[in-house]
Amino acid sequence: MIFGGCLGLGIWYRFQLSGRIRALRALRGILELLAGEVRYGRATLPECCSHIARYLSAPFSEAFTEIGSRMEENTGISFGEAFREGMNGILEEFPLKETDCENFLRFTSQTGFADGKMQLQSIEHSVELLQATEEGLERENAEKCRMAVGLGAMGGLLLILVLW
Amino acid sequence: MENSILQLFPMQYRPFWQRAADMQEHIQEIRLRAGQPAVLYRDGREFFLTGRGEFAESRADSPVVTERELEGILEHICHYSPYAFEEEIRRGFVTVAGGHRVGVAGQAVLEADGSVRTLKNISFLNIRVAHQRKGAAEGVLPLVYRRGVLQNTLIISPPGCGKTTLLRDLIRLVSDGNVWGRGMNVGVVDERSELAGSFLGRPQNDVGMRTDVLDGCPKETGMLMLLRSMSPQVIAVDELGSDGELGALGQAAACGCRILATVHGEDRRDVERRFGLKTEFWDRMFDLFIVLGREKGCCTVRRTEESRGGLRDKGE
Repeated sequence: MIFGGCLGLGIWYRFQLSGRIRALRALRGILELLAGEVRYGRATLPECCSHIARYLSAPFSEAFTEIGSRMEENTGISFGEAFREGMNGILEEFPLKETDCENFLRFTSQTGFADGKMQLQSIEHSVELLQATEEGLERENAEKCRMAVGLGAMGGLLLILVLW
Repeated sequence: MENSILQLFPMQYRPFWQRAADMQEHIQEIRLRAGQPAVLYRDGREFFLTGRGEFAESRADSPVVTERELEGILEHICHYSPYAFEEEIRRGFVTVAGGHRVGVAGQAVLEADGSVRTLKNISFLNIRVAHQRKGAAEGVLPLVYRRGVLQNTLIISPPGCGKTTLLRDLIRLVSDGNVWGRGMNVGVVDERSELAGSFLGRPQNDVGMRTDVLDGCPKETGMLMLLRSMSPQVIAVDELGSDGELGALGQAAACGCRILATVHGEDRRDVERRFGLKTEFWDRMFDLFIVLGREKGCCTVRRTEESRGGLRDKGE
């Protein structure tokens, strides 16, 4: 039972490490959907949010619907503010670092381009930053994950020996 | 549409514009120029706004509009996505929620062939406040219908006499149905977004429940598209201006569509001279000509003429 518990702890830690990668992947997917809407639909950013909401799963779908309807109500709030406010509560639920959130939200402070390509580039820049973090983590984590499970198992064995 | 002009401004400018927005019904235009005070036209008179947003006849206490403010307002109007309004900005105006039109001017960026690619350094905004006048066309309804059949009607008017207002209300009445005729499917080609005042494809003005609007599409192409796609019973277009448009209108008439259209001009002779087409052509195309004037305000019918030549003078 002690061995099982320690091994489980190692596996849980491994899961935590890969959780950030999964979250980064989800954020990157969202930005890619946004970029697609800008590229092909020439939609405004609030429209893009409403459109992609239907392709997203909870909690992002609700958040994006909310951002879209908030902008449609036209209370005077800027898109950047609405997006950041809509996302802040959601992003806290994921094992993300502050820099990851900043990279994701970076494009919201770069709006107002007359050229659609420029707007796309600002979204794609955020995608690249997230992807770079994701790839770096994947490289690091392969080793860390193996170590976490191994240490968990060995820790369990050591504990059994000490108690015996 | 109440207070809808307030929605043109980002949150930080709204307290300043609140008083003006409260009087939206009386405001025709708001002109914003970088480095100059805002100018409003209320009931045909020119006003400035004081620092507290109150109307003033003198510009003494009026703060100037900064370039930054103009940028912010334009960005807000474009939903923080000016790229999505590229075509509208190139044409020089953006239609916004509420049906208002925001004219823009600045520095033109040209293509190699001399056509306008876009506008940059936008330093002038002209907000034309939309006022739909429901009931404006009720007076002409008895003329527009003959034995329950809608007549092909051409509204002729000099600028500023209300031809678009009259056509818009006529579309609404024909579409919804009225005491003279049952409701009909109306197809509107709204090239300059003036009739329906569409914003993101949705009409902001009431153009009737059986009306389909093709927004921002050239009239000639749009009429043929609507004929193929929506099979309208009535086709309505504003400001005919080319032989191609008349040709497309002819095709619509040949398909059995009824026609409602407007054209710039002093009277029928002026229109015939401008297009260089004979009287018979117009007689074949239209059953009724309504000539507008300004004698008794907007939408005054100066004269109506039936295609057979029988004149019916009517001042309303």
